[in-house]
Amino acid sequence: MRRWVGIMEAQERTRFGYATAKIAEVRQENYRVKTFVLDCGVEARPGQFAMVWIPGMDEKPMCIVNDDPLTFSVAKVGPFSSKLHGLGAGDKISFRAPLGNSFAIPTGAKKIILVGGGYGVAALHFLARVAKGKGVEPVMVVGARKRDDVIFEGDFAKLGVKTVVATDDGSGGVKGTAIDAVRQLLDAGEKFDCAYACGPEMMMHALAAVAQKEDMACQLSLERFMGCGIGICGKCDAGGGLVCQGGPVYNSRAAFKLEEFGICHRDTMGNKIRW
Amino acid sequence: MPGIDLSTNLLGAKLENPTVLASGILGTTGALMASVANEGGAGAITSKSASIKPRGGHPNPIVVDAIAEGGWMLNAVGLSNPGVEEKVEEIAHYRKLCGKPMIASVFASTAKEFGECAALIARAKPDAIELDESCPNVEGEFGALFCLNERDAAKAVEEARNSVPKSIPVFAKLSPSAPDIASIAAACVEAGADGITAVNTAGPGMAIDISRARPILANKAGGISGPALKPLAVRCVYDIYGKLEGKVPIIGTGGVANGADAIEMMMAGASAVGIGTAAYTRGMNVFREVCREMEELMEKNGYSKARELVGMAHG
Repeated sequence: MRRWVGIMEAQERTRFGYATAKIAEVRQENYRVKTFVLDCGVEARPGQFAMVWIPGMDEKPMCIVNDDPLTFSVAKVGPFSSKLHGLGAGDKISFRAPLGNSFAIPTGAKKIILVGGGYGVAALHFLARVAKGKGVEPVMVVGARKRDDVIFEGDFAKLGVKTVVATDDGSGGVKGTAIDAVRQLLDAGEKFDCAYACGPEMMMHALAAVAQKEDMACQLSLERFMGCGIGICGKCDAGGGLVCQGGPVYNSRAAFKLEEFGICHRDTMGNKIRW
Repeated sequence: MPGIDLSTNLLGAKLENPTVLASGILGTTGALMASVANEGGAGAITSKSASIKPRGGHPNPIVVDAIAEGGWMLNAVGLSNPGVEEKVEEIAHYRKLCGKPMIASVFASTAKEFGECAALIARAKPDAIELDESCPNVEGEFGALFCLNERDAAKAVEEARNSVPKSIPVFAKLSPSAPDIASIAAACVEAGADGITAVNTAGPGMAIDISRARPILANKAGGISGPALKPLAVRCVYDIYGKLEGKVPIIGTGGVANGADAIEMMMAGASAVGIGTAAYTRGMNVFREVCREMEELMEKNGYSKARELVGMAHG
């Protein structure tokens, strides 16, 4: 298996930071999410992202779900993801990776809680695996609108991670939001050294507020419209900070300092869109 | 550094140092522009070009980074912006967060529209308005650049100059692709430009991914920036300064990455120095670092005032 380090070792290095690999396997996670496993690996940490390029079409940021083999989980939400969903084993995929910063596990941490909303759950699987490897116990909270939206439940079970599912309509797990489930765990006396989240911003905003109240460390993976991915175009500003540079992972204190955290994001033109 | 004075004056706007964030880089939101000035240390900010109507720009990829490989970068962002009225709001927000001068860049597809757009951005009361007559990556859409011939370049300046209060200086941003940039600058000044920004990105150029056999940029071609652009920019600034006999200020932009580059640009004739691509290669603090390097080099060479460097290479 090829393995690339950083922006890739000299021999394997494609020019300008781009690499091209082949899809080794595609898994259907649910009615709208597919996982793509490539025939190569990169050296990346949980929380980092890749810019996935479809020549002649567009390039979008994707969470790295696993670094070796490099894996992405993609929800079919628009033309770009639909095009990706049309690719199969043996097809080429091009990317720049790894980009951005990563989740950090505080020294001495024993137990952490991971909160994923929708397809944000996938990115936290990588973190759960790394935590396990360090002897830290993760508890996973999967939030989804309905039973069919829940992904990776089996993967967390396989890792031996305690997983709580919460759905808005109660069709799977407990009825309520992911934050309701977190509160229940805390109310039951569970203690966590750090909370991590990836998912809808208002869910992360609510978790950050809970963490602040509980005096619990908290790290969030923010999402913004991304242009260059390297800190030059200014499209991913979240109100005084570029998410591709200062993020995508922010601790809750840093996130609250961003003017637009929990308030709005921007489209490619720079127009504000309220969450 | 004691004994070294970096301050400069750009037609009434006081800059604590001559570094200016070039248009198109990080100039999107008010909050981001304020952090480039407050934390990064830029002497002034140029906002990303605004047009009358909002523009989505080109799809990604919009940038090719070959700084490490070849000393250049390509960009084809495609003038994405939320429209001039939103930009006025962003500049107002910047003003709340930061007291440093603001140069507002506008872009239009006709000379008349340059006038309209400049009039609208003037509501934000910027310290200067920069007319982006030279973006090289929208040619398919708008035809040849405004600034490639004297008549068109001057016409856009004239429309803008007549549309905004006299108290707001108007700069024309020109392209290094012009066959005789100094004559075009002279025509712009004749038409009322108070200053010149030189230069925009060069080209456009292209980079092809060999494993996919496709141009990387969605727009295929994009403007060339970075260290490879610098000698071209220095020559353009030198020519313009010579032709205009130093009568109007020039914001010298193109490949400046360190203090030596900034001094060189000023010696060619620049009153202030635009920095864009280096804000990527060296990070947002590049402005502060360039100033520190300028101070060291000025002391070493016996120069005390940055203002006195302007045009020094003309002898």
